[in-house]
Amino acid sequence: MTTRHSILRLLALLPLVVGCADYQAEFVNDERVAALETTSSVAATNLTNSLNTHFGTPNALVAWGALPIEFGEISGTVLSATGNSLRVSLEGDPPTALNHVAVVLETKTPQNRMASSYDADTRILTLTEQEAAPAVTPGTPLRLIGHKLQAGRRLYMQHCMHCHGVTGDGNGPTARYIRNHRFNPLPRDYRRGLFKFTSTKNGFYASRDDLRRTVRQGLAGTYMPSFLLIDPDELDAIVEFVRFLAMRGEIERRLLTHLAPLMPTDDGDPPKDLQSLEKELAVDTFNEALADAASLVAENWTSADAPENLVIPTTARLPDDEKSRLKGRNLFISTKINCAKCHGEGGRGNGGFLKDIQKNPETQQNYPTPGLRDAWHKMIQPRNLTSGIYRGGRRPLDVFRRVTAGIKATPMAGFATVPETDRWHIVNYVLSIPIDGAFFDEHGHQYHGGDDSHADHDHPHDHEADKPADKPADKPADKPADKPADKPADKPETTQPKSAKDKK
Amino acid sequence: MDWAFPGNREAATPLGQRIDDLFFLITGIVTVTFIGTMGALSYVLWKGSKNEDEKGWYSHGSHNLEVIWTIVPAGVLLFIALYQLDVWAIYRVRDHENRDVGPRPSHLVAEVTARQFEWRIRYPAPGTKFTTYKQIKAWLAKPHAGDVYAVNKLFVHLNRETLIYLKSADVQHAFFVPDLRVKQDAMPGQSIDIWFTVNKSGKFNLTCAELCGWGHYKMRGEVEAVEDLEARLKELKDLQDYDGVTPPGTVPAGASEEATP
Amino acid sequence: MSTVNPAAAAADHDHDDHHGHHELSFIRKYVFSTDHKMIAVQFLITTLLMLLVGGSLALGVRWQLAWPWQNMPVFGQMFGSEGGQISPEFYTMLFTMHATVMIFLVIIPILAGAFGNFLIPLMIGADDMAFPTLNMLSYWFMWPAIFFFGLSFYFGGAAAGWTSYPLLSALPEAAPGSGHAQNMWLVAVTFIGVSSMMGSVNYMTTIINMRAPGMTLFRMPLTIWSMFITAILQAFALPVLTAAGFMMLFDRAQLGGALEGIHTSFFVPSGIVVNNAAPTVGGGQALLWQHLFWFYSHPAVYIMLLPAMGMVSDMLAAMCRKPIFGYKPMAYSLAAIAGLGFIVWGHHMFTSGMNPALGMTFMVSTIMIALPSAIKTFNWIGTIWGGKIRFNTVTLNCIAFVSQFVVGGLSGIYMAAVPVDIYIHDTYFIVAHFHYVLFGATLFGVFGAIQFWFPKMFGRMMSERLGKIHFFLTFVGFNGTFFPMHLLGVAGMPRRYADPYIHPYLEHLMPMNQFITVCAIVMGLAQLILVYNWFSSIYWGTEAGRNPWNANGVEWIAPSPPPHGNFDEVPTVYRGPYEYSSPLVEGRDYLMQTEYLPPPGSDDSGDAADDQPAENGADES
Repeated sequence: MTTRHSILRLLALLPLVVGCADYQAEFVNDERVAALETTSSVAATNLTNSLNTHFGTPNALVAWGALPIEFGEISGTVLSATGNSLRVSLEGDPPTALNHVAVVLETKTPQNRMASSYDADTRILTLTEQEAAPAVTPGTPLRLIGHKLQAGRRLYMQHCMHCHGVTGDGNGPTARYIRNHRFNPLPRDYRRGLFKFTSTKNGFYASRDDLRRTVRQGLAGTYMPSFLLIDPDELDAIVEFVRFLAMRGEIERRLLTHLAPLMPTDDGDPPKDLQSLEKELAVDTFNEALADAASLVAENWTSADAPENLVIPTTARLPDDEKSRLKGRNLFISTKINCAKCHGEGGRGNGGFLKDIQKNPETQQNYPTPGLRDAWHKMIQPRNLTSGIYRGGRRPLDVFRRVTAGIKATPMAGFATVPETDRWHIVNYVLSIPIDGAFFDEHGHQYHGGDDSHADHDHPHDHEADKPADKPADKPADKPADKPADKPADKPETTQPKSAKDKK
Repeated sequence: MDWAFPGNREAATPLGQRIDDLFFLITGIVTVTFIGTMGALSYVLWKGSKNEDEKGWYSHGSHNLEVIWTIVPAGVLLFIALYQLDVWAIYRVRDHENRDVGPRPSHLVAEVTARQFEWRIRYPAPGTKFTTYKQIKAWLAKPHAGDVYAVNKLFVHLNRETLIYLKSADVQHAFFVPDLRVKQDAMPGQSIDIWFTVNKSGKFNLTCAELCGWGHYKMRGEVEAVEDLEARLKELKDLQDYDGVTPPGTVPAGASEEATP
Repeated sequence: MSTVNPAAAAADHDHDDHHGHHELSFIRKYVFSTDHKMIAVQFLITTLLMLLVGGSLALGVRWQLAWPWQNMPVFGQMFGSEGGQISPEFYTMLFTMHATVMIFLVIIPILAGAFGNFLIPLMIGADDMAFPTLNMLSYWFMWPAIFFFGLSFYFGGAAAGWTSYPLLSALPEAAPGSGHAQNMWLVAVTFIGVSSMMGSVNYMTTIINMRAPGMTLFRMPLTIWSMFITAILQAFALPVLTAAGFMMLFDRAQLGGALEGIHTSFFVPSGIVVNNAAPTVGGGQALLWQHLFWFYSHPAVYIMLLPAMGMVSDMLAAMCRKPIFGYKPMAYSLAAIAGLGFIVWGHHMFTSGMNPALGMTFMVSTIMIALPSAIKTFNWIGTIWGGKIRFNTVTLNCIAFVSQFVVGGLSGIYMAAVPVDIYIHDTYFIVAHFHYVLFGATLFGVFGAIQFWFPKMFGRMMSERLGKIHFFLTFVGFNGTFFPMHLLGVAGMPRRYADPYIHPYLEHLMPMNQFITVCAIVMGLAQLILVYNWFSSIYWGTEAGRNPWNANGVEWIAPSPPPHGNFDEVPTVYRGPYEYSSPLVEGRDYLMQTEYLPPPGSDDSGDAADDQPAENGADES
């Protein structure tokens, strides 16, 4: 964490404007800004202005150096200059469109200009007209900044905006129609900086790889499709822009928290001591709060990419046999880990916890209806593990990560303190549920609950007619030696293990 | 600019090549007809504009001409009909007599489920051999251990018949691979078989060809024909089984972070 | 084969003489009129208005394809958009409503409702339709349809394509626009179906029962033949669509009140999960809708073509001053097209998952249907052959009809070849094909018909100059817009794509799409010339007499515009409608149907016979 002094210096560094000629969309403010406006317009104005200054508008983005974003930077030198046309030599391959990309001329006092076009054949970089701009001397180093952010923004508007919204608030035109079923996940609202399916430890943000993975693979079972075939450069640009929007949203939120005492009370009245509070919060300490917010956000995002913060098992996956799965089952229903309280005895996502009323962690008040909610206060359901749909990935590593670090922003907790071997048992069990069933009989054989007609078989057998296709390796057919101690002994004959399901 | 068929004007399957031949045959017939008809129209218009007579030609028609221009087009149309019956029967009617073409259960490669707005693919466990359609049906009915999953990218045989089953998870879609000249609607509630032999290696665009909602245009996938499909599926399986510790068998290090869905 | 009972005609006649004592109020005369001519004009104005609506929706589609995700004028500021940029579901709504409006609110009503209504009684010598009140209702049922289509916009606009395939349209969660908007769409289609049905019953009855004395079936103009056959098509095909629409409404089960809880599953199979909603409980088959829908919609495309074919035949004969070449083959071809039209619906479904063996049967019938169309084309050319042609707006539009119909028909051959159809199904090749037949053929035929019968409707001539300018701009714009679509289709560009360029094999098609859009805009703007021509001619056009074109039909003996009751007295028909350039008369090249000629060899008092054609209007050329 850098000192406040250097943060303030950072604030002054590199606010560069990166523009686009098309798209008329504007960022929208957080809902609370309108309320803030009614009590303290000074605070609201300072807030929106600082966001504007440091993030810009969709058509004129600002590359703020305090943020750990790859805006896209190309260095070079000016070879000769005729007015606004500079002949340059650039390191690296600039993209073809350098329209409205920021240009920093590293003269004694750096000048901020804007590029209007670049011709790769003649290597002429044309700057846009700027009043009273000093002439450029040959030999001046220069930097082009922002082409990646700009490309990301353009791609975002084409592919992502209609669901995720211009501001990344998950409120695009299409999102308003996805609300049909209450358990259908809405497009992600980036503004909390929270993403669900990560490879990082509990308490850390999503890494760039996580975001890339989500875009490339999609989220199975949701409306987030897979963009598998997207160009890797385009993918990187989109991911950077998503992070940009997330950081913008987070800084807005943190500033609103800082200004929270100025919000109207529940009755709609302005708070007492409005004047003094206003002076203190919205004027005197505002920039400090901004610097703090920026450095905190930067730290969070940077640490998410650090390799030491990834969840990586130290032991290899234990062999996926019935013994391990049985152990996993026992852990699943044990009171220690108690997966079943949310995921249900049969893994169908219908555990008893859904009937309880939960508390809103932000306000400490009870939610009006029973059920689980995510960080955006939306009802969610625990995963139906019998479906075979894994939003975060179906590799053993992915399921291990879910068990270890949970799913951020949801009630799915992480169990990092549980021994790794136990976690692998759970992984083996969970991955086997869709195929072999969630329940074990007294011989330790797995079977499906519900109306599966094979639930009453306790020995493996072969019917000649339905002989399955030749498989390379079959499961071991021997019975397990140990019997579960505290397991409710469902007789294999019953096809409806109701008692198990009703157990709380 | 390439205004003709994608894939450098040549389809990548024998069916596709016959479709192209048929297309060009019809184009020839149609061009001749068009030039003939437009020529006749232009001629009669030109003559009509030059007509200095007081009246037009008082004729109610000609029986002979009617007969001629009924029989001749009928003959041409009949020819087109019969010529293409063969292509259709061989390539789309599964129980056709000619057993040299058409699928066998052993050709099964994958189940492709179209959903809004991507292609979800499931391969049987590498090494699985199907000998009857009943086995295929049993495999299609539910997930099995060892199945390999993928999204938006389908590997198929090169120079060997490929059989895939097309399902839909929600609404209607259509599996369209322009380079292979393959198209089949995915009907919810049905598993429909598609078969083809790819005889050019490469990657082919896969796209959706039946309106399925707002993301109809987003369903961009890829079909790749590979020599050794078995090996490729084994690679995918290894990636899918990655536990974070043991390097997957045949896949180079560094590629292992590529999660499969 | 019956003729009107003269006594009944006389009774009508008496009624007409007493105009004076029965002056109708403004509402009864101009709004809720039962006079077929007023109803026809109402249809005509309404459908031309809807043409502009449907056309602007199409321009929205074209804009998106030329400049994807750029700011769209007007539409970019509406619902479902974000800062000038439309959303993908807005695009699906655009093309859905474009097709819906054009098919149900423009083409079908303008042919049957406007021209059918206007021309049928006049051409067969009747004083009005058989059921005047039903006729009025058939017009006014259009308005609830328009209302419900508009209401569907309020809910976002139906967005399942005009073909409305389930499950996209059957499950409310499947897409935006599959909610209440789809219900509104289904209700609107039902209303327009009822309107069509009322019309078709009327036309059939009128044509069968109310022909003037001497008007045998084979003396009817081809316009009447086509309207008659079209009416039969409508009567037999529409109920299937209406039934299917109700089936889908009940499947959707979102109606309140007494219908709440009707939850059928005609089209919905079990176990489908859309949008993470609860799995469907069904047992139906989505494919069933396609069969039902196309069983209507294929005859529908012939409903959208046949009247234009008939009218073009009449116009060509009049403008070339020649009888129709092969009148009976023409009439039989119309019947053949209609009859065969009932057994080809599966050609829309070759890739649908129906039994592939059916592909062969439908292919045979589809190939067969090309034959009568070809015969008709040759006969039109034969009609022009040897004629003394007047090149005016009417003729130009008819020539465009014939030539564009050839293009559209020939592109249909590709689709009849089933293996080729596998490739071009649901690509822009199909879009090119049907626009060539629906716009290139039918709509040009309609433009010609407007120019031709406008004098009869309003008593004034439309401007020739403006008509020609409109024609040329439309023709050039039309071909520039739709011919390249054949190439797009062959290149594999699918239909209904909001942004095809994310697919690498389609990236290079953007310039062609931009060219198409520019041509489409030119074509769209050219229609304003027609609108201006229309309105300015009504007020300031040259006055027309009864028969400005020197045509033969019965409608040209009536005053322009005809009064209530149409004719001065019941006409008697002596011959067919195409006796142009007849050797029986000297000094003129037309011989009207109702003109009495004394038999040859009898006392020839020149042209002092009764029932002379009334005074001719100025001869336009």
